[in-house]
Amino acid sequence: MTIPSILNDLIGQIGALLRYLLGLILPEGLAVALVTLVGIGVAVTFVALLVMSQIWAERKVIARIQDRVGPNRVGPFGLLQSVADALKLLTKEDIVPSNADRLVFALAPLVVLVPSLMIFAVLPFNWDATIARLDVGILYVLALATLPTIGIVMAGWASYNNYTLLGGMRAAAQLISYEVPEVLSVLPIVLLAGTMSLWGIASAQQGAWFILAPIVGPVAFVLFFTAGIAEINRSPFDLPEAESEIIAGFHMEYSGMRFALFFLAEYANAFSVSAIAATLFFGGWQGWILPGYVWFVVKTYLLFLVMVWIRGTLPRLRYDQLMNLAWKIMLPLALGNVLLAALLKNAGLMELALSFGWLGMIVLLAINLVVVVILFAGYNRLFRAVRQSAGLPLLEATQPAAQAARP
Amino acid sequence: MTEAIATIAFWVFAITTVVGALGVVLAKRVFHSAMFLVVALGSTAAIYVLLSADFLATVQVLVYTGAIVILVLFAIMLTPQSVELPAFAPGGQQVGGAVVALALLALVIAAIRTGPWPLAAQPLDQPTSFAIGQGFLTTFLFPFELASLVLLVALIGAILLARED
Repeated sequence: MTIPSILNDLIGQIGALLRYLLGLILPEGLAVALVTLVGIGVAVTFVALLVMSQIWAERKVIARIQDRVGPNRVGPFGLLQSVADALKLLTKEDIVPSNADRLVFALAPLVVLVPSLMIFAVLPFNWDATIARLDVGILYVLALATLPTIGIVMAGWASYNNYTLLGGMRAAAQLISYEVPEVLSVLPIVLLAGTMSLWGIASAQQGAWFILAPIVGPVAFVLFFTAGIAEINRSPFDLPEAESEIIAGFHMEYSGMRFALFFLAEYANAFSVSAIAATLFFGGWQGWILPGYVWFVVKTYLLFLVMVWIRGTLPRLRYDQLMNLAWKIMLPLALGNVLLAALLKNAGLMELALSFGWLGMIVLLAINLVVVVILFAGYNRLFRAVRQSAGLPLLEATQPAAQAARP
Repeated sequence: MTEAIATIAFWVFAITTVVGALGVVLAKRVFHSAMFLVVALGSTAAIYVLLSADFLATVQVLVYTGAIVILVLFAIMLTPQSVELPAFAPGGQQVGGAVVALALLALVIAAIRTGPWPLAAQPLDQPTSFAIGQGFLTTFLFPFELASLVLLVALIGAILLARED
């Protein structure tokens, strides 16, 4: 056994060893149950540590985008800033508004956090490191991803405040709109893989990642990632907590640890959306040389950084733009994409390309790149035509003026 | 061991289902009713899991708790007097409601008592989504398409009702 393969099986080996050792002193069923519990504990601890690293990364990257330095006081490179923040939140006073519905107010952060953690049970970190290989994996994720919104609405209603109520309503409307394109954007991948299990989908990409599927892959990825960002209320879809419009929206009245739970759930969700995208489109744990779980975390982290990048670049959508995007653009695109995926599957194009090995994959990549270039060029022409017909100046016409106006 | 755990789990979820369903009817605030609805629907999904109907359970959560309850909550927040309801409906409605409820109860009990309930010797410990998909697109294709047609008609009807002209 070579060293890379030992590293690759590491998590499975540790699990097997633990099960063996426990099996010596305990009955079989109890040992399996205990190992599963340990797995759950490891996953939850992993999430907490992960969120801290994500917050640090996000603050650093956003700071660079905005020409700042970011956290750099606590620990090397400000790495311990999140730890300090967590301690601060722990010691803060727990305030409940006097008119609040106390029970619903207390339950809301839990209703937000628990489903977010439950999603981690099906994430395929490696071929031997998936807590539950559910046959309905992706459906389970999509179902649980809707539940935090109930908690957000609860928080908005229970706080007895107009701004929080508005935040809750916005979250509900946003979820209802974006759930449809999200589910439809997953369907082509389920068609191509022939299974709904996340573990199975990742395994099916041994030959080629599904992002390479001509047209279908990139379109499905963009739709899924956009709808996913909208569903977890991240910028530019952060209308439920828009600071400049409704203060902090649904979590305005929360302080201390209760607020920290919302925060934890938000970043856990960001990770799980990136992880699902990495599994569906970028092959999950598939990679070369390095162990699978390293690949999985690296791919997920890169996608998370794309989210941060989007947050640093795009302004928040207006409400009508939000609804137009979901119903008039994403829904028809997703439906067409399903049709295309069925055609692709029937024609056996992926298998044909894969039979040529590396060459086939490069051809697939080239097709997709051409499609992307054509789409961008088309969008550019459309944008110019619309602005010209509306009598508005083109962007380059406004650019020198904007630059001259700078101090 | 597993049998005992399954039995305990069944009773836990059966009780939470009934408590949730009662809460929907008895809660004084509409919002609390919606919360109890989440409990009732979620526990039903858990019972589906115990019956190893994995596909049905996830769809139950996705459609009912995920979409329908959120729509209900949204509607509750849009209504002007969202906070309090009168404890009881006016007299005539109470009698009518009781009659309808009792009739429904009688119907359900009759259906349960007269129906043949074939039981498998053992719960099927295998994924169901494959068989369900096969069934939808082969044996039950016509009812499946008919249901889609009904939904389409409902959708068009809703758009017609909502149009302002």
